Amino acid sequence: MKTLIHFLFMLASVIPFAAHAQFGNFNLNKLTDAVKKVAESNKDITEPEEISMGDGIAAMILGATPLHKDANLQRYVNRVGRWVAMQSGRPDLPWAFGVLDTPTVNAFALPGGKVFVSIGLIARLTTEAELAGVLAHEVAHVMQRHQIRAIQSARSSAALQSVAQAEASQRIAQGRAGGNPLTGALANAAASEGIDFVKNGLFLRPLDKALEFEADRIGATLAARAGYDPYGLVSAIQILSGLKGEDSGVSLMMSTHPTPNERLAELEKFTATLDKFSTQPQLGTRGLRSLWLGVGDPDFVGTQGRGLRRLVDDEYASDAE
Amino acid sequence: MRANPDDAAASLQSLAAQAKVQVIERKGAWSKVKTETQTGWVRMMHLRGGVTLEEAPQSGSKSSGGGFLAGFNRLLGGNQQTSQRAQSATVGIRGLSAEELKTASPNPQALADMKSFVCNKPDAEKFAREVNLAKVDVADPGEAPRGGRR
Repeated sequence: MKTLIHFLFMLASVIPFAAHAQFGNFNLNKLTDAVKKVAESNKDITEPEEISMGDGIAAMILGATPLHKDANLQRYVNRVGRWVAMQSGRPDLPWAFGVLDTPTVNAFALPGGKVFVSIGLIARLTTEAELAGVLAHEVAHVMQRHQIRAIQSARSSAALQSVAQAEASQRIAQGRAGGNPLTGALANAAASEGIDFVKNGLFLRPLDKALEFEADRIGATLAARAGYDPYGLVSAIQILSGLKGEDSGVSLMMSTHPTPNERLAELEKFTATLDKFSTQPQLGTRGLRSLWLGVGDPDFVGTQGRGLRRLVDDEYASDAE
Repeated sequence: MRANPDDAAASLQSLAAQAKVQVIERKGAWSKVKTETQTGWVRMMHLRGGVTLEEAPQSGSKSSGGGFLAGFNRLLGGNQQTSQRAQSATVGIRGLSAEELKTASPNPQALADMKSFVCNKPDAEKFAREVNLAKVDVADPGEAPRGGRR
């Protein structure tokens, strides 16, 4: 690869004056772009770029799936998530946790501290320690910059892949997405690139299994640091292990993660640490109103089985307790 | 399965892989489970499986807000071959399939809404204090293959 980069650089420097020339089907202009892109992709992604990229990806996900409309639930998840994230190596990122209104079972982290969890997953959890464990796994991905590392390597190979790719990159650099001008948080190249990573499917590529196992270990550690029983994560994965890919809307999650049983087997190696903090609270109810939702509940369309959905009372939100 | 949540406790019976048990409660690393014949404790780590529809027989929790663990049947894990990995993208749950993500249009308004719910550090600390959650000193987990730990 290094050789190819050198070759491209050489080629571009030998004939700079010909940058606008065409040789048959060979568009030198585009090739020059590809060379620039390779150089760009080898630069480290800065933290502000990482955050913007996360904005772009989040905007895409929210374009496909709405936020759950329960504002108290959103605030509750943000409180648990932020408390856990404060125990991480990156406590000061603009952490934002969003509950997606879909019966799909999934949770994922984006670069820069944005984390999504589906109501379909939350509804299956039974304690706050489980929720904290799930969020902590995602926080761990952000803390370790797992996605950024994946994006960085995808970016450099994509830049080399073809001249057509260079053309796409140029479009991204101009900050356009689907022809619509982007404003606010999305009006920058990094956010556009984030949007493109969803469009071209790179975002959906599974991370290395080893990174998922690492996120489980760090996640359990962060949950324990936050004062929760670290077995909450184990319990959440056990719940996932009981779901069938075909009927529960878990296919995307299953295709991007090791199987729950593989994850549990890895966490078993971590039992000594887990045990040490296993008497910390699980927080089954907290100040929340909890209720069982049955099949057919209008708020819970399409989800099979039943789960515990926690709703945060207004009185809780206003600190009445 | 042991009489108490302790590796040194008397062994009540040995359970086969994939034996079906009902989880009654959890204490630390141990789950109290019920088999067809007995009640005892197993290491929670050894359980697999999730919620099923059955209600726990002893629970009178038909009303909302009833017992959390009621109806949680789990299987004792073993070396069972699971087919949990989804076969392929045959499920088209609206909104979060790979295809729908790829073809979505960015929604800046929803992004702004999401940001309106964030929690700052002082509020997160207050939230934790309300239920006596305090920071605990926990060592970093072991090294991962590709490093990068701070």
